[in-house]
Amino acid sequence: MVNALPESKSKSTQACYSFFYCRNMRRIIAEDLDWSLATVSSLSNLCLQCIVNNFEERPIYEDLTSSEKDFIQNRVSLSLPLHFAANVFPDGVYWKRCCEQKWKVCDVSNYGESWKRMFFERQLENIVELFVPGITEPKTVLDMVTLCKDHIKKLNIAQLLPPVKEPQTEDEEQASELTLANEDDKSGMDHFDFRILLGKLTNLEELHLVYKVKSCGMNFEWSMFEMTNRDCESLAKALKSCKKLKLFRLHLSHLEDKKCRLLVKYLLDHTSLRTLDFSHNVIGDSGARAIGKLLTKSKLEILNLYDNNIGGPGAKAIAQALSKNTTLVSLNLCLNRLKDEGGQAICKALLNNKTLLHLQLGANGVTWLTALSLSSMLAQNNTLKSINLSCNTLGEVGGNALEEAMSRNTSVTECSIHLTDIEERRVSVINQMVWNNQFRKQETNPREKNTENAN
Amino acid sequence: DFELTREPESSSVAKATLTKQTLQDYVFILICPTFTAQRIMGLQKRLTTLVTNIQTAADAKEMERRSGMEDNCKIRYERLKDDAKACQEKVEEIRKGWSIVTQKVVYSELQSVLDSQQQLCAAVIEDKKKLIRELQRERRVKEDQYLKNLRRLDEEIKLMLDRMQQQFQNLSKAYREELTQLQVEADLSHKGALNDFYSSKEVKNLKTKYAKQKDKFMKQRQYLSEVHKRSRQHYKRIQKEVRYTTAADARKFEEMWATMEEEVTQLAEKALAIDSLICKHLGLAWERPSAASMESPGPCRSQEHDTNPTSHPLQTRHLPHCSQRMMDASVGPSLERDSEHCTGVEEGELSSEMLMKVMELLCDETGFLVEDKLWKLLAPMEKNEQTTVKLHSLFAVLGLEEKDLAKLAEFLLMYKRQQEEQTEVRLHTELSIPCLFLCVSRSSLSHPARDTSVEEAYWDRLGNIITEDKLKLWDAAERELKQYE
Repeated sequence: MVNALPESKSKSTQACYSFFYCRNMRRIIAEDLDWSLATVSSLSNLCLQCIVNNFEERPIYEDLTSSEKDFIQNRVSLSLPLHFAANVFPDGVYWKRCCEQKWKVCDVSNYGESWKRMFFERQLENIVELFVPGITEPKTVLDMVTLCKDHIKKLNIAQLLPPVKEPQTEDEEQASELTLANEDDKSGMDHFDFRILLGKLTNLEELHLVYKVKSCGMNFEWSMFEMTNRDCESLAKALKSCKKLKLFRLHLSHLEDKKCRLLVKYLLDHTSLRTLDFSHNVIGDSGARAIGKLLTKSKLEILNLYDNNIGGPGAKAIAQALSKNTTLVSLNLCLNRLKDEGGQAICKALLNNKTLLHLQLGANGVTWLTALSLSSMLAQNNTLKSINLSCNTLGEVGGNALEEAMSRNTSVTECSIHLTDIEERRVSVINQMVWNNQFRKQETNPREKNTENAN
Repeated sequence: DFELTREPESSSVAKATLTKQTLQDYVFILICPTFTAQRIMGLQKRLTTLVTNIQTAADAKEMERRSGMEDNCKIRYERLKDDAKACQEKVEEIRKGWSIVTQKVVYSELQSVLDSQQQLCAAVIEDKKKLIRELQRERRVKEDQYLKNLRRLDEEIKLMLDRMQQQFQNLSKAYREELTQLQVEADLSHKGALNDFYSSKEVKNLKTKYAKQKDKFMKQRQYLSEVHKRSRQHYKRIQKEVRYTTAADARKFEEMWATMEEEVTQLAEKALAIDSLICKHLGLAWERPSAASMESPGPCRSQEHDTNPTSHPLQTRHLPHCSQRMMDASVGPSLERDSEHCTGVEEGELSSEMLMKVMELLCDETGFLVEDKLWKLLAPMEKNEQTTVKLHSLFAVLGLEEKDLAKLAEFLLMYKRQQEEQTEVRLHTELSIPCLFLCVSRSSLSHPARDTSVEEAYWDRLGNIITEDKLKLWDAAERELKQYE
């Protein structure tokens, strides 16, 4: 083919031939974002990659710049041993990757924007939740604690497993049916002993506990949903050793008077406790008396006893404490059995109290008598901000009293009187007055968030 | 202003109440004064209460349940107590009956006592069994109630979630509106501030400066556009001149050729005549050299373009010698098709339509020259873009430039016409197209070294119309003649 062409010695034609026959020159750059003529990355990147690959043997981290540190944190393997990683990496991308690998939903705002904290708190929660007393080694808990005790601020433990029960033979079963269940027998069902844990967590500020077993299905037994006496005692002692604890919540655990008193005994001298939540238990009057004592001694700010069995005498004890208390800000006694005896006692106590802001007395079986004492209290008290009297049959008399009270009071900005058998027209009047109060406050103050949400 | 109905029997009722309340909310929002803070507060309050209402209703239900349970417990306790008492009485009777064993009695009496004892025992057992059945029935009822309760709670939770969702949406909408309103206000205030700023004296200097600059630029612009127009006209004129001169040159060349040819033929004839005479005298046979050797290749062929390489594509005239190269059959017929469409093509004037067609042709035919990767990239692009990119790549590979395109097109047309004129059968080879390109490129890029071989041959032929032998003969004859003088 080449020979057939006439001879022409010009350079450009020869170049033409070479273009055609040696099609090596690429003239079009592809729209491939990863395409680059440089196939070799920069030396610093290569070095960093090398560091990443050998990180376990030679952890070079402290001497790097911050962008290099980010590079390493982004790429280093997630299967590094935990004690090693905990010492080397401060809060950052590495922990974010760990969290997202382990758990599907990660909302770091619940953990003070710290991924490291989220990781360790959730790890520890997991370990405690899966701890089977008698089978799991306490060492697993202790090892984790030594790694992370400075990072744990809040623990939300959603289940506590009882020890595994040996399947009884038939004879034993028959024998156990005939004997009465003795309280002492329950000692075999002790849950996780918190004494090994809480004392070591020096930064712990919040502790949420539930004595229940998730998804127990048909293996339900009552003992899975309550504490034993020994549990209670060890928990109380553990709480005492936890010096920075600010919030303690023990709900849905069938906490009755005896155990409540035991816990309160150990909490009496606790200096930092500010929030106590014993909701959804079975505390009665005797437990309420203990709590009243706690109110006088400690600096509690928020007390939540929603859904218990407190009656008139218990409420009287609390009211007595309330009249002398100067720290309590929020008190929730909804869904108890206060009745008018208790309700009136509390209202009378508030005549002297100048710090309580939120009071919830809903669903307590109080009637117009309590409403009357409440309205007389409101005439003098101008610190109380929110009241909840819903699900009590106050009737017309009660409604009248409340209306009268609201017309004179200027501090109450939230008043919940749903399902109280008050006439609708009157309810709207009361609401309007409360709304005016709120609006007036809004004008003078900058925007405040609405914090009404009882539970 | 709103109350949750005491017992929402079914979720549909609850939903109806929900929509009613949200409607009330919206009405409230519309009627309420436009003061946004108050509106938002109201919205927050209402929406939150909607959610907490569910909780309150649940509390109320719980209280009812508790009181019901207490009553049930009391009743059951009473019943058990009664039952225990009755049972106790019966058991006493039975015990009394056993005391008869110690007395000495007749067998039949003993038997009857035994029977009566049996009956009493059976009665006691029967009572107990009845009690057990009743308690079991109660338990089943309680289980059903528990299930129903769970379902109700589930629905309530769903309702609560719904309401919370609505709350989010409504509140965020209200916040957004507030934000836009604030922004509008901020804008206005900002503009007001700017206006104030600008209207003050210190800023007036800037304004005049700006106006001056604007004028200057406008003037410059005008001037430059004038210059541009003039240079364009100049360019057009020069182009016309060039065309004219090349045409004139061509004509002159033709005339020259014609005269030269005439002269040469005359001389040749003369020489031939003399030759024939001499031969006749010498008694040799003489034949006229073949007419083919006298064939003139025509004046068109040998035109020089060295002086003006970028000039007019009159060079295509001498490209037909390349037509002896083979061309692909496909180009031929396709060109045929194309040329049918085109109106008469003048030299140097190509309709852009033709150009486009030619380019497309090139693309399609030279598809094999395009690399695979390029195909992949081109796939998503439109046809036109494809064509362009392909052509670019081709020309880049072959070293062509755009201006050559016109020449290429014309050449193809020329070739086509040639094909129609000439009747020779052409040989086809595969790579004729690249060959074609190479020729084109060669002819247009490189200052075409004219292939003047044919013309040279012609002149040579005419010059050598009297061959060497003949000349020798003539010399010999002349010598002889001279000898005779």
